[in-house]
Amino acid sequence: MNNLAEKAGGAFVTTAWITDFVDAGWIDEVVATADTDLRAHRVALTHHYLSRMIDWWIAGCDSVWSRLDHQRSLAASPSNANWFTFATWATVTVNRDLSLRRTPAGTARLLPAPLRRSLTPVLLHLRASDGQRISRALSWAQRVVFVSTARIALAWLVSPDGGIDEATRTEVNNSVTAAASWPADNQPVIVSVNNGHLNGLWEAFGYYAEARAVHAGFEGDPAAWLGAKRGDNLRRSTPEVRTRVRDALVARYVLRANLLITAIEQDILDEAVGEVLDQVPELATRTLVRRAALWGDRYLKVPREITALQLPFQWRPATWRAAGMWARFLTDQVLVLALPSETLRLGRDVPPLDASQPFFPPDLYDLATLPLVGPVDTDDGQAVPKDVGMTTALCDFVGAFDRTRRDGLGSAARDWRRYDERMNWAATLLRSRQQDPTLYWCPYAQEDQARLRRGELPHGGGDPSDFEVTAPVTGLPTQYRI
Amino acid sequence: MTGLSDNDLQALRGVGDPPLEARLPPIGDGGPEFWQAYLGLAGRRGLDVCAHLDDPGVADENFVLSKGGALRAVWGAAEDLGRQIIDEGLPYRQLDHAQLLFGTYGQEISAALLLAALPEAYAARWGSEVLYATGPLRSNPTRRVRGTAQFLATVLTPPPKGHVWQDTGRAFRAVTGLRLFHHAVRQVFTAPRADGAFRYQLSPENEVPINQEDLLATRLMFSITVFEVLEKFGIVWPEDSQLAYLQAWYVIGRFLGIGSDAALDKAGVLVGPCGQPQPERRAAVEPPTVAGARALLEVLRRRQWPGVYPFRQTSEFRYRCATGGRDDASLVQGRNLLRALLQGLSGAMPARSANWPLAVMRELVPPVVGYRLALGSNGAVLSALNNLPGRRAPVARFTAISLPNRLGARLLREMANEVARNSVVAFLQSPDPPAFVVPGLEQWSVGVAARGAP
Repeated sequence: MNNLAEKAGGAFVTTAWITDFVDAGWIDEVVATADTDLRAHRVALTHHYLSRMIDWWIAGCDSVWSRLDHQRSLAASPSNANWFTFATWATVTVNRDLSLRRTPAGTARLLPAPLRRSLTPVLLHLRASDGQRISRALSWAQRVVFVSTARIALAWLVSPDGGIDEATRTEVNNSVTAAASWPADNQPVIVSVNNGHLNGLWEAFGYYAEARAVHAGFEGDPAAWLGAKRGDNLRRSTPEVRTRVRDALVARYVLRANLLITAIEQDILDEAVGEVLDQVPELATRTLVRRAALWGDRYLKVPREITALQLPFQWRPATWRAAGMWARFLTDQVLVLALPSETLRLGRDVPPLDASQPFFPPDLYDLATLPLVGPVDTDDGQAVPKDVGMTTALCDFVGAFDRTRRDGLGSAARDWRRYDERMNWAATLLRSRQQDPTLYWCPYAQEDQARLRRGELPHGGGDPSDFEVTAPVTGLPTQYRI
Repeated sequence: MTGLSDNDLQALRGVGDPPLEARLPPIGDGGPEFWQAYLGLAGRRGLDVCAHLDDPGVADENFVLSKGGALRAVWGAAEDLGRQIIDEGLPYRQLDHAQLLFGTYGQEISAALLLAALPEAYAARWGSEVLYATGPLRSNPTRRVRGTAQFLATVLTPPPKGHVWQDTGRAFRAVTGLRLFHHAVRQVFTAPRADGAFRYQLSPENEVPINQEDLLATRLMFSITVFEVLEKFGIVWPEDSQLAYLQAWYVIGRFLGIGSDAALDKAGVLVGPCGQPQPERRAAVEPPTVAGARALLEVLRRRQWPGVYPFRQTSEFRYRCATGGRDDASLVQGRNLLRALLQGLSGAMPARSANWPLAVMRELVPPVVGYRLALGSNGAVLSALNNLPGRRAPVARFTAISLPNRLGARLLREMANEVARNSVVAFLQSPDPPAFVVPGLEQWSVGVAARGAP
């Protein structure tokens, strides 16, 4: 039993081998896994268990899997998906692009079956070209994001309630930096983490810790978050009202953490995403330049070295435009995110989860004010309550990325290479899907989990768009749960 | 003539409006409260606050303003400064020319200001902080935009007869009011409260809010940015028209206290590196040519629009430390200002074209502004139109500029005009005070507003 299981002390039901996956030794093993395909699946599975563990860490018996295990309704109180929950499905989707054995995600929808048969070899050839650059860029980026988020999450999970001390922080930062750098050939890597990223990640996980503190202590002492006056008012209200306010506050802290981690992760991935989407125009340009250089050498007596050196510069504006159009085509037609109950296209507005319901969950609908508590009077000489500072910062943070008009209109990305386009889409996704409990489904069957643990490739890819994910059945005895 | 250097501009950041500060009568105790009340009154009644002093209810509304006739004294002092500028002589021929241009291209100019100049101002790393802190962003996000549009219409719309720049004219009163408004913001932001704390905690770069550098940049964005946008619409003004429009904004700037001798003296701009006086450097603040003004704006833009590196090490160590490794402190404010602007503009559009303001903005602003404000990019069709081969047009004897493709430019112009038209109608029909009025068309304005009444 590792220290996390000891800390839990049997206070929650562990399903399968959750604490085996949320463990420093296992994370090291995943990071050190040499096989790209295997590592990618292990990352997805570890993300899944980290998400469950953080959910339990914040909400305790109200966490999704605790309620499943105790045969309690998921509708009784809202669940909150954390960043790892979303990362699980993003990783599963991207894993298709890492493997050379399957077509990239999204192409199956785009191409009609007969055309797909003839074009699949072309797609696989493109992916294998140039030293498998796409696969390498994506897998390295995935590894760097995984190591930075997983190690910091683990440090928080095993920390005493007082928080993280400076020594732990430094130790974790050093280990992340070492794992994310590539000292062997002394070359700068395109995907790396720096102190700006790490500081932001620590800050984000601090919001999860604050959500945990709210969940545990709000009903006993609402004044700690709402200030004396509003806290006293709330204390006199019904327990249902207090729980409603607590849930809204927890949801906002979780959203803030989710958004901040996504912002950092997307910054880490920025150049890798550009590399991947620009690969086809670059390959096409190189082929054209080579042909032109050979023809010039043969028929015009211009040395091919000169043509090959000059032409890329002369063609740069045209290449740049072509790359832009290609990126727009890919974003619009190919790129998807496969979630357990829906497959979202990145080039389309995020649709409502349920047409008969509000677009955002009630706890996250109006971010400017906390429901059921009155406004605060900041001119009365009192300090600004914690919740006001938090909601103001959250509004500003969401507003910095969100370019939608209403109900997700305007969330569609046009050019996925752009950081702001990705964050606009992600901000809407995170906010609208945060309380969807289906995100907590496990992407891998129990047998495949055992195979991954042993270092073998799974039979299924964990891809919901290929019908490889099954829903957990409420009420099954724990030992049979996947 | 040498242009303004980085050091000059940094020095200008520490200067507000010295002539006005020297001339204003002392308010006595309660100065910050007086100016706070002034801001409130200007927000509700418009810049020409003196015109409303005798309205019923104003005295009760703000007792501070009615105290001892302080407001009339303050207004009178500001008017005296304005009269001095009129007495020194104004370039009336060029002002008339600028008003004619505004009459002809009013929609395009309004679109340029709404969809390019304002976003560019929001992208400024320091100025956006003050804009964010002063604006009633959450309570009424469109009030500032409406106020800006009203100011523009007031100072640039030609009157039916006489001249708009007479000392009792509406333009004169608008610039006087705006100058006092800026002064009030400076007073409110820099005055500590009774407990010693500041009402607003601004960054050290905004020790003097609405300082000379920010004012210089704003003045040029309202003129040079208009030229740049018109070029994207396929409209090229000849050099004399551009110069007339630029001169008009120089005049407006002088009325607002931009680049006054006292301000330049205080910043040490008129002194050479060895301490020798250099009065000829006044021209650096008001470059006599359009090319010179473009060059000055370029220097300001380089300072105000650093690249975006959300969570990366930046070259500016001091700034990085202040934001915990993130270069997004100013970005968040600018982006939220832009969000409020977009909400206002999109809300004024019919449902099927609600995304036009953002789409046009993406094409009009420079790429760095797009990244700073997280504007995103347009889809394949608009991007392709923007990338079609263009043509070149001479703007002076030895100068030519690249023009966009005619088809793309035409489409962009029509979309921008549609946004401007709908926005003006929304301004006119807005129930919030102060009412938006097109100068010279007061009855017409009331009629359009009445059509939108419930």
